[in-house]
Amino acid sequence: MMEPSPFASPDPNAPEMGPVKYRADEVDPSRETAEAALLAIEGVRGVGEGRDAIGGPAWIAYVLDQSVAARLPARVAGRPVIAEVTGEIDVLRR
Amino acid sequence: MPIDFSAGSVNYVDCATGWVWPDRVRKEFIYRASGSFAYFRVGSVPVTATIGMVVGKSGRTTGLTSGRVIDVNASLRVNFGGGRFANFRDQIAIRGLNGDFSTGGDSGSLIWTWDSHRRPVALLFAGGGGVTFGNKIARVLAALDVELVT
Repeated sequence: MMEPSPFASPDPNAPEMGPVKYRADEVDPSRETAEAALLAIEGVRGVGEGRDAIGGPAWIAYVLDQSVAARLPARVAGRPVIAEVTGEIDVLRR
Repeated sequence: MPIDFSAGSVNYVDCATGWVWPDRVRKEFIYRASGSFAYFRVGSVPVTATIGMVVGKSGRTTGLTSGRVIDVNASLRVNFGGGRFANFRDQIAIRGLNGDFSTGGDSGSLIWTWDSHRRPVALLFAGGGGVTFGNKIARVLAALDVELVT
């Protein structure tokens, strides 16, 4: 029996095909709040979600230097904010 | 994949493919071990990164390193040089376990689970201050419309 070609188009009638229902509940409003608040601070180069010192959920702010870290709020949208001093985040080409 | 450098843009991957003659490449990855080179294979089934996951990579500059995933949903402003910055979302972040996980020249390294399966997790592309950032491998494979053959 011939193996199916890996380059064949997917079957449009397969059960998993077709429109996917939009699920607004997948967008976390507290994430949007935290991201907007933290990225508005000068010197913040990124925002993520990690764990604090005791394993609880925390926002991570990737910042240029310690002076920016010192200006971060302690909490945003119900979670603590922890700083990662990355400096400028560069592509690692060379 | 083209990168959108406009102010309000969102990027998920920084990646590319190339064609090769299958008989001129090998599936093994390489790393330096006590002065000589050693080879290993990686899994072909991608796995979703989780916080705390221990991962590894073998890169051009820093060679074989291991690290721990600290973030699986990072939004970043990445410096491409020459005054150009691009926004990325849904990235993973890694801290090295014994020194830096990566540095300049390590981009393009596959990041895999630090276990006997070595399942693909992410594609290394950026970093700073001892933190390395990678594109989620599922997004890379979807963007390039490729499957892993390892």
